[in-house]
Amino acid sequence: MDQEKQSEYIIEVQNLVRDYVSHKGVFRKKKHTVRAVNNLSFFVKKGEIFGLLGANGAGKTTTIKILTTLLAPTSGSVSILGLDPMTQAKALRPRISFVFGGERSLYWRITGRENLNYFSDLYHISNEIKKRRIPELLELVGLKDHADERVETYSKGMKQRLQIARCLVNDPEIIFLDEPTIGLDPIGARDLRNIVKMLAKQGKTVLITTHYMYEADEICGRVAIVNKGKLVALDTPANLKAQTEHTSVIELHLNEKDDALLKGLNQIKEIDQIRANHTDQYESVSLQCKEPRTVFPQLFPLIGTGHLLSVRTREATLEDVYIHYVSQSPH
Amino acid sequence: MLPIINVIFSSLNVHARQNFARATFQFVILFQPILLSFLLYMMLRGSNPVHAGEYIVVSSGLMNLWSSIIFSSAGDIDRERYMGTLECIYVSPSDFRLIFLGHVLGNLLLGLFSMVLSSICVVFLFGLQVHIENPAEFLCAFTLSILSFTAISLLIGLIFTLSRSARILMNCLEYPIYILCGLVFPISVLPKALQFIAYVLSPTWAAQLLRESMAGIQNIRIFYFDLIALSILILVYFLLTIVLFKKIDRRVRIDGTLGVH
Amino acid sequence: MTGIMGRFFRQSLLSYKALYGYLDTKVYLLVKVVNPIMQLIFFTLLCKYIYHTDDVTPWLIGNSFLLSVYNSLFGVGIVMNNERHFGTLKLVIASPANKFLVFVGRAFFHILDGLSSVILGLLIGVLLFHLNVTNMNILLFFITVLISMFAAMGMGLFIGSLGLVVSDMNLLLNLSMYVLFIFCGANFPVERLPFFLQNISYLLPVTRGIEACRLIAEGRITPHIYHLIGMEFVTGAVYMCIGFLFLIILEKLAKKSATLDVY
Ligand SMILES: Nc1ncnc2c1ncn2[C@@H]1O[C@H](COP(=O)(O)OP(=O)(O)OP(=O)(O)O)[C@@H](O)[C@H]1O
Ligand SMILES: [Mg+2]
Repeated sequence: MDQEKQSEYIIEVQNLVRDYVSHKGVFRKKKHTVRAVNNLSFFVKKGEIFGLLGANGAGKTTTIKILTTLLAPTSGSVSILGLDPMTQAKALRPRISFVFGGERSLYWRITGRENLNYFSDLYHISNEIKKRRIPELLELVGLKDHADERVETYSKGMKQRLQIARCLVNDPEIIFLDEPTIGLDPIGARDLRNIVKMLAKQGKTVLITTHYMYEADEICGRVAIVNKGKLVALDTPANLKAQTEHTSVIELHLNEKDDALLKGLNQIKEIDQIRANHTDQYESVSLQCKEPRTVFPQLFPLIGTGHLLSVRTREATLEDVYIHYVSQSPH
Repeated sequence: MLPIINVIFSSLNVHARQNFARATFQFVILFQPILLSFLLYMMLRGSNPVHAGEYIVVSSGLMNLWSSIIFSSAGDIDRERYMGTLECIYVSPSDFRLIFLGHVLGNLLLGLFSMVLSSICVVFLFGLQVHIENPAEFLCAFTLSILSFTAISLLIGLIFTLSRSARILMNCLEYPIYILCGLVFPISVLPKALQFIAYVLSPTWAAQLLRESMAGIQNIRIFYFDLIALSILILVYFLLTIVLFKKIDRRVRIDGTLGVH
Repeated sequence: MTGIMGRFFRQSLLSYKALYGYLDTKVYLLVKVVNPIMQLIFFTLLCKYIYHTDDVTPWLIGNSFLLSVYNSLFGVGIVMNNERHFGTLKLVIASPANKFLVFVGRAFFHILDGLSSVILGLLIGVLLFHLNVTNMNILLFFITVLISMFAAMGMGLFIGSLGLVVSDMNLLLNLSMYVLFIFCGANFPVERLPFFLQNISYLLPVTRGIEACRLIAEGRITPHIYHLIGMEFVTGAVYMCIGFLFLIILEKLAKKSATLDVY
């Protein structure tokens, strides 16, 4: 990438590596190293909503911590707004903000408003701005009516929304959101997505991680899929879905596991990928293919009597792409 | 300057309230001073020494001050680590030392409250006299004592930012300081080698100065020498805090100890 | 029979680990060895200073005693607290197994732990304070310690069951620890307390245990000692009974009104 082009990016991550060293054993300590982030590179433009996707332990939170000056990289280079988070943290910190999802990161024994007040003070926000901004933020996240109640009385969703308000007290240019919708009900999650979209419209850059693929599909301009600390794909959701060329998925729900069926399915060459899944209610089998019409005639003879609960055909989603990438790479 | 004071005050306010809502801390602030004074009172009751009232007030007061630091300032960082707020306050543009200074001052304020409580006990419940022989010198000694406790808790608290077992380790520092710093009995009962360590710890001097100015200063030159020694120690602690923090700041980010995981 | 013993042992170890298991070994040593030693040294030095004496034997014994009591009291109390916290207390109470055995089983390792604290205390006494144990009946001494720990466990159970209605157990345990500090004569003679408070001393466990142990340490084995030990046992048993009664009543209440969220 040439210099000219690079300067339009406000987050630049190149060959990032982070190792965690932990010690095991009591007296004769054994060093144990985990490579959480492995040679990761990506660039984010101003005003973009950038998604970081990956399984548990893929290194998403670690990456965000490095970008937000909380953690030192082992090697590689990072530049946020042209600043190095490790050596120029002081200049960078007022201009960014983060939320680590869940109910933590708040003071539970004081009220929501007092939380915002406190963090405003830490960010040296002047009184006039505070007076205007805090009510605005409370309004934005729908906590106006509960602002003066103790946080410990809030529901999980309210706490999460208060966290969003908290991260906006300094009017940051870049916002890092680590699983902000975890544990929210569908409506709460939708509201939160709308807030994120609105922030992006105001010109803020958002880097978000999530385990919900439809969510990433809906709001992210581009997504990076990370597997065991390594980048395995990076593009717009639409391109990613097109890239795999698997336009359709046939989903079968069976009332019990059927090994003969799986063996038979493996013989059908029109099927590109087979995924079997177990849930409490049923066994599900997903088949990715380009043309379901050619698969169906070969499919039905394989299914034993009384096993099939339902059949469904749908377009491939980002989730299918994600699973394709994450399950494909070597373990 | 104003934002600095604002940060300290804001942090003091939030943490004093967060902490006071904790049962363990309530115990340390409300019950312990009364129980401790009572224990000391009963122990002294047989012999009825002079200055018993002053002895109990200073001893239980200093012990309480130290306990309140142990059960708050040091543990605070660990608690914030578990609450997930440590990372949030750490990345704010405010100097982490100032935020933490707010914590420490808030806890000291509560600790002072327990000092008052134990004085009330001593005077009204046990009917002992508490008399300050040299008020001006006492005020001096008292101010420096507060400063010295502030300095030492800042130093210790920051060092414990590094460790995930900070809270437990900290609990183990309660009695050693009681013993080493002569908060309750003079350090002359300790072996010589330990006495040297005692003189590097600021509470030792604070306890000595407070006692002397209450009971009556024997030798004013020695008193002022102690006063200067304490001031120098406090300065050294503050300097150490400033210097060490640079190292600690790097270390926590390399080890990744700001979060729980 | 071996099956029962196995379960007994496992449960006991589990409950012990639940309390301390999250500590790494160094921290564990600090908490369980260094801190008790410091506490003991502090109080012994305090007594030595206030009483202007070089013979600290009675105070050393009283305070080593308190160390082990600390184990029994907190062991049982905190185990109950944790069980409530994790919702397993109901299982214990509702289980057909003998409730008494279950609880004692859980306390078994805390007892071992407490015994080692006493030994540690005596060791410190011998090393630092010239404690003389040559004319001490060691066997009788440890029997007394065991019985006092049983009594303290009774109190732990009692407080633990109170803790089911009072929401904060730690406060209660801390408070009762100080109550023992003051009332059971570890640091000053019980006779020094105002008369009406002396009665409290003899309603508490450990007071008699400490008295007996001091006599044993002096090598004065008299029938009075057996009387003290016997009464100590009775005190412990009474606390245990009250504790269990409380548990059973609370269980009934909880069943009747589903709103009472004691478990
Ligand atoms: N402080 C730490 N010490 C040691 N290992 C760590 C630490 N933090 C994370 N790890 C390890 O690093 C790897 C990446 O963790 P990370 O939290 O970045 O993953 P993640 O993608 O955020 O996962 P999740 O989706 O579960 O949040 C994991 O294997 C984790 O166990
Ligand atoms: Mg994560």
